[in-house]
Amino acid sequence: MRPPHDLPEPPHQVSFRFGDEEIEAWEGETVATALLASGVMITGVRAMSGRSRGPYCLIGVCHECLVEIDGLANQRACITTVRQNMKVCRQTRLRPLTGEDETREQ
Amino acid sequence: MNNDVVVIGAGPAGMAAAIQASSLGLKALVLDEQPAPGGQRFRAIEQRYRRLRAAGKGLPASEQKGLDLIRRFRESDTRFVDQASVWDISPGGRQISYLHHGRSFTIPANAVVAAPGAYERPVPLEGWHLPGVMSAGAAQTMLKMSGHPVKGRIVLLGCGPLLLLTARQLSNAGANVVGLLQTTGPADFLRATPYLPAALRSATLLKQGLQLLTQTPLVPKVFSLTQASIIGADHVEGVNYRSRGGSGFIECDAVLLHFGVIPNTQLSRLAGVAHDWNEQQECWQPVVDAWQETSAENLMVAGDGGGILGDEAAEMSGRLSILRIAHRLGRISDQSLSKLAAPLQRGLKRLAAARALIDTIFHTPETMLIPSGDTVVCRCEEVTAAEIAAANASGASGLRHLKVQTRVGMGPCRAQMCSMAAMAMITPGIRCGQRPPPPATVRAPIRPLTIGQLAEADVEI
Amino acid sequence: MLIVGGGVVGASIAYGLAEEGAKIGILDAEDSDFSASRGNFGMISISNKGFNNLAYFRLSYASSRLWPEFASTLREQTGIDPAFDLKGKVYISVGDREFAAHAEKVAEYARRVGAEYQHDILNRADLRQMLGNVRLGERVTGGSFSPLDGIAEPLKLYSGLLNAIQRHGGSILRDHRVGRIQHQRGIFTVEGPWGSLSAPRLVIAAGLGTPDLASQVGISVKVRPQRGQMMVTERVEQSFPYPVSGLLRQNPEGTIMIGVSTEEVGYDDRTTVSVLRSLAMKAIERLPDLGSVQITRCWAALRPRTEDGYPVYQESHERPGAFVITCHSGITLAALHKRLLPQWILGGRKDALLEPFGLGRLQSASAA
Repeated sequence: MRPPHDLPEPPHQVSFRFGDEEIEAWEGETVATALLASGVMITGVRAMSGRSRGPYCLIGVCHECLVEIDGLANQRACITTVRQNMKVCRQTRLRPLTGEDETREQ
Repeated sequence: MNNDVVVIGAGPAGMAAAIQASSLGLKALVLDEQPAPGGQRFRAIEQRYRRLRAAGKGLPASEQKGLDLIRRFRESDTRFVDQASVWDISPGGRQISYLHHGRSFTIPANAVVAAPGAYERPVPLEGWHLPGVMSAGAAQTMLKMSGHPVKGRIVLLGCGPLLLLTARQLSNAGANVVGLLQTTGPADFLRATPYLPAALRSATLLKQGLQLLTQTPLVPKVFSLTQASIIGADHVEGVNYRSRGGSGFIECDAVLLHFGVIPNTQLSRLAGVAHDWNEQQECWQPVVDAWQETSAENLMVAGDGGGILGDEAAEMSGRLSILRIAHRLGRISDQSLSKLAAPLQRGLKRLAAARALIDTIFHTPETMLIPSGDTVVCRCEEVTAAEIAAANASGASGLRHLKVQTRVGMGPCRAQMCSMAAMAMITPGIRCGQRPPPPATVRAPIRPLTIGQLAEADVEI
Repeated sequence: MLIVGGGVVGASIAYGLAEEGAKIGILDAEDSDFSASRGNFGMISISNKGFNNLAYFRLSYASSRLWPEFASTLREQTGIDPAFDLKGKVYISVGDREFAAHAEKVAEYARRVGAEYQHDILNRADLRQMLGNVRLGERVTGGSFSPLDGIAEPLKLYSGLLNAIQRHGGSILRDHRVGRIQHQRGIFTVEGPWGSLSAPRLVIAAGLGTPDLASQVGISVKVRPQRGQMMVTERVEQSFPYPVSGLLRQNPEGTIMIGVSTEEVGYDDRTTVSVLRSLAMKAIERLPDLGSVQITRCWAALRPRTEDGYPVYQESHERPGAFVITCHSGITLAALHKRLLPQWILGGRKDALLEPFGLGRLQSASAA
């Protein structure tokens, strides 16, 4: 198998949504570093205290950078690799157990 | 069961272990949480290399060795599963559960080399929970991955080689560093002189250290820092500090903290092996023998996860682990075992001697060891130092008692950010030889796992 | 007065004794000791108690009636709210057979207990109504609701009790594991590596540590560990208003607890993937929306089980003044322990509710 660093071309750029913003990133980069590089400092608000929080360790330990990614809550932005067109949202409140568009039993 | 050894972590220790295993004909399965090998030390180095080469530049020599190691690792006969988060290891290590692309797998393991690495010692300061405060290592990671330095006016605060290195790297990348506040002062160097002769045996390490100390960027510097608090409404706005030379305030947009690194012991504690308090490095670490073997047979801990010695030592300890396993399996003779191991064991001794010097110079000042007042100690559950102090005053004698009374350590980081400070708070004589109480019990899952993923887990026993 | 054992059982008794003016010292073992008080589900369970032992149902029921006042007093005295709510409990059945068997058991319970036993069978539609927004699993056939049960926040309760004892002048001595108990001229002396302490009265409420200590005051009682594994999730919006029997509850701050297994594995409080997986499967089978919720922690605790599973309240014949109290429902019985045990320990008046739970029952059973 040829190591990825032997590939001739430079890494591609990808883009994803953060709320209403379009964020550019390198392929292989994490959501957290891409957000920080774009000047996003606050990735969430604590539901209990209302305090803002942002990434701290970037190695998956502190769990401060939890965001919603493609509908899944509490994802570590620093461990998740960006994908083209992924949807990332700030978490500002406790999430409901059921999605709002969930088809309900009659 | 089709693996001879399962290696957890693809940093320097894990990669060296896998390369050694493959060279001895052992089948290794390597699991790592990141999308590419390298660990924190050589994080995203392949990407960086490609980016730099596209711009007509190359990697610095200190990083080139990482790229070479990764190349040998990728070329070895190893099964590498990236983006695999290990969330459980059974007592003694014979069974490992990991999450890979949303699916959980539980697999048996004949032998395990755990190479979980280290993380930066969390030292709670007032306001350290504000957005804009990160660890210095995080700023490095960001630079490595995105190619961009931290934005705005930056203050670096704390102590240790990595703090100085980050300051230099950020400056070189064009960042706006407005302050380098170091707890280190003349007294620290004086205290460390007895360790100098032994350290001289590691000439390269010493040279690197001197370079770091002398080639710091031209920014306002403060030495002998004793206290600091970070100010801001909903993000960093500045730092108040006090040092032996006086006090002051620096307006800034980002604060990067660093107080050395400590082993990540989640995995080894979960496996239930013996741990010991390392007084010199002020941290818990698994007890390992000359082969990196823990109190459980065929469960090795290699690299910084077994005690902080750096990436060069990590490679050596990774290889030693495999030699021991291969010998048990009859793949190498007694003779070649000692022949192959001797230089590695000598090398580890030499590096340990140099380490003593570094640990003595750069240690957290006593004034910052025990947080107080409104400082948030447990960031997940937002428990303040005052609340912990109150529980302590009412007679909590261990971390579990504290937990019951304050919820400290009960959040998603699983006490990794608060337990050191909480432990120091209930062990007032920690600097005078008083042993802290044993660390809190670790239970699965040590990585995020949903109920659905657990219910659908693929369990192969 | 010395109380050996600093768990919820010992602390509830100590709280009652301290309120009566007794001078209390609680001796607790190390932080690392097995402790069911730090690992339980926090249920005040009545509707599934004492199917084969009416006295046990009556005991538990009596405690549930004392709980409201117990909780409010604790909150007023300490400022720590144990978050008690006698809100009732839902049972969910999966498949027709399980539902039929459950309905039959509920009917039999009502026959045995009488009018006090309130427990209504619900069909699937009723169940949905009760549980609000949360979706029911496809195989859920029905269930039931009993207003008899309640919940509390177990860690808040525990720290509230300790706080209350201290406020009444009692002391809690950590790292005071008791090894030996001596008795001389009506005075008990307990000893450990930490030293020794003496008092004319001694209460042994040491959970799994009880048999060793009880034997030193002439009481032979067997207690074995029974492991229960459970997990707690991330915080989510309030999603289901009632605890689900033996399986699920949502705490006021949003976390969901899932448990609890029953295993006979000796002194081993570690978790296992296979048991946790089966708990997860059971939870999702009933409430499938739980599938996307993240687990924050799993743990196991050891229930101290007596031979027949019922509490033991026994004063030593050989060494009067020494009392042995052990049970595995320390939360359910906390209110009753606080109210009824002090008058027995201090004044010798053993309430009729406690009478059936002497050791005599086990001895006569084994003799027969």
